[in-house]
Amino acid sequence: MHKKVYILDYDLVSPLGTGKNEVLKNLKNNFNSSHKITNFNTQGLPIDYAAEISSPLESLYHHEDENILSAAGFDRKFELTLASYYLMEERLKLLMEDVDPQRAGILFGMGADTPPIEKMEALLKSDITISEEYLISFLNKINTGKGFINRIFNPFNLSSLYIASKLQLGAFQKTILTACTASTQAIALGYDSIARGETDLVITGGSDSIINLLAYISFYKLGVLASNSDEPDRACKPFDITRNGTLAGEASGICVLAGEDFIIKKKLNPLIEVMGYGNTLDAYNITAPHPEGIGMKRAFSMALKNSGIHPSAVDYINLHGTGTRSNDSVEINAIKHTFGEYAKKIPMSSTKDRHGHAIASAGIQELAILCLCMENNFVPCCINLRKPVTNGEVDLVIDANKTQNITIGITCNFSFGGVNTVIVLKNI
Amino acid sequence: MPQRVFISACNSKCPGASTLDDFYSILEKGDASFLLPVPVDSETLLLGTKIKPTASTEFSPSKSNEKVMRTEVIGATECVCEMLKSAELPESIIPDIPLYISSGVCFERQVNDMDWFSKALYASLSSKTNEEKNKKIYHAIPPLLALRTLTNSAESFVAQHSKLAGNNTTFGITSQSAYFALKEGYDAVHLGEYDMAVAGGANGGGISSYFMFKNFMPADSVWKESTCASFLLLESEESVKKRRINPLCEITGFKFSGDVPDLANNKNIVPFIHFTEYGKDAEVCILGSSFRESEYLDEKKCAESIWKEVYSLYPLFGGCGSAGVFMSIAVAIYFFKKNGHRFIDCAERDVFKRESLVRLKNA
Repeated sequence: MHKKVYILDYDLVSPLGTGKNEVLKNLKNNFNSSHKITNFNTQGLPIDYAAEISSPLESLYHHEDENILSAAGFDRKFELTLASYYLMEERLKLLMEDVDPQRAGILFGMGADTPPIEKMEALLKSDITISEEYLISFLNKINTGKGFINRIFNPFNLSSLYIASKLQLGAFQKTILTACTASTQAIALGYDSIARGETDLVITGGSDSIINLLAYISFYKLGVLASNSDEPDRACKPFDITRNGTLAGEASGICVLAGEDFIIKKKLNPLIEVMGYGNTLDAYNITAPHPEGIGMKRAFSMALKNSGIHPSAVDYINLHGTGTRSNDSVEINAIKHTFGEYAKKIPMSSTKDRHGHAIASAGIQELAILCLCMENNFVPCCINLRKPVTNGEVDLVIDANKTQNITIGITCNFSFGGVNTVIVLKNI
Repeated sequence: MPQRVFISACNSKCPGASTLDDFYSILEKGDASFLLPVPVDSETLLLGTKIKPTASTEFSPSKSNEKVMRTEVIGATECVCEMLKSAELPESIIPDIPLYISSGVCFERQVNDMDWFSKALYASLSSKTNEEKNKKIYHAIPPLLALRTLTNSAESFVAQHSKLAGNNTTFGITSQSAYFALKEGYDAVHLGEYDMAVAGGANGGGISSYFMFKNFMPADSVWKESTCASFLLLESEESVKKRRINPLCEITGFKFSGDVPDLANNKNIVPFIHFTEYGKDAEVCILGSSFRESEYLDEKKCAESIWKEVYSLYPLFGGCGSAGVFMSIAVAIYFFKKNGHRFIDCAERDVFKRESLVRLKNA
């Protein structure tokens, strides 16, 4: 017998704002976070913009010890984790009061690591010749640390273990590595853990940033970043026939899941119910989505079936909508196939044109946005969509945001390599 | 209705062994001569070696992909394809079987892959202007770096070639991730959600792993780790009976230490203190995951106070990281066949000193 699973709390550090109130305000104002990169010098690069988190985060975690600060200074992902943890610390500690550590766990999605070459440069002398041997020796020399924290080259596990150690989450500390679906899967597997009765409470979420020199260039060379330096805020155009890529982004967020027994026992008021999810693999080609979206279709169908929801009951879908040529058309076909005639009646949009693609933290960012929309009767439009890829078969929200009750909402993410994860939420 | 869970197929690839029989032959001989030292710096040696894929080109969609796919990813793909073939499963059921992987993936793994990074770093130092520097770095970065560093590449490449397309995830990156992947597969079958699940690990041993974990370890002179892949087919009792097959063994228990590492203090915790009762029912324990000699000896000594017989993968392979539990289980299956033990425990201790145990019963 599966137990019901609820979202008790969530929050977000995003290019749209630090904290959900600011994010909501900026969503409603159609704020676009795409701008010229300030994190590193971009002279000589083919493009120079991204959806950066512009507000300084250090004030949130400046009291941490020197070792943690050193690691956060090198690793943007870890810095984002610290920021999202401290944004919620008081609320998290309150929820964790009297919780058995063996009945609470963490699942955190993390993205691929690329060394912060722009930050390492200053540590090198300018007159040396870099050989492999010297480089290894150099990395050895600067990769110092205390306890289980290095200055650079920290294991992906650092974020989940950091939060686990702060909140004493002993049931498990898992790190999910499925790229654009990593934090979506973290929420899905957290749901499983509670629904199966393994845990009472699971901290889920993720952190990622591809706004560093090496990651930025590597994604550009892969051909997935939009090229339109003249109008950075118009660069990413999900579901537009003129789209030519996505917008590099970064984010971190936390979502607290709990079972109904726990909520009743602690007399808590949940915000949203997690109804179920679908999770599939394309099993097609590691470099491209299945052209017919077979894996996506199965993920949508599985999510609806597992949630016991008929397509007609869905009120809003926050689409993955990256703005890349390959993803968006396949995603729209999967939607049309799954929702049939109802696809014309369900408002749907991608918000990546506003906050960019946060890769491993895309899932938590977009789930948090969906929760905000559900709590505030709000449907965001695709702000850069002028010429939709469809002829009315799908209700893509364009021109203006809508005010609308959302009882059932869906969020979905599809990763490079063909992983498809769809989550269904219900307003309480 | 909870189901008993059996292991009905197994496959492993590790240094010197392209097949499970090769692997068992290495265990018989205790021959580690294939582990070649690779210099890391003047004081440290790395014994990470490549697995030998049997037919890597067969699994590559194109030559360009073959060049960028990491060794452990190709090894994992071959492992699963061969295992599913040996299990003689109808093709029609494969897409619905879930796939849970533990991956030791991170930024560049092999010594040779440091080359482009050296060039990029040198470019950043030898340029007079920011523009010149960025242009040089841009040219130094390989076109498919994002694919090369993709964290779910083992899962996706396995899916592409095996056609497994069901529920899935990739856990990272220490040996506990292998435990989590196995437990996820076990739960899916045990709770009746699926008849079968594939669970396994792919570990890429190399420079990055060394950099990430060396500071946590005792400062011995040698770091020893293997690139390897190992997978299991988990199957419910009902499915085993229906298919009329003889399973290799049964999974009868899991134990996670529940310790939450104190990140600021790498405290000395007595190994396997949570498992002291386990030696009563199981005579044999197989240990995995050590990367250094003193750590291995410490763990072995403590384990020998609990279990009558203790074996470790360390002398032959060093740490097997995210493939660790699966490699240990492959060894247990060999022991079940050879010695007829009734129960075998496979115990892991990761770099953060989190511990886990899987109990197996001879089928």
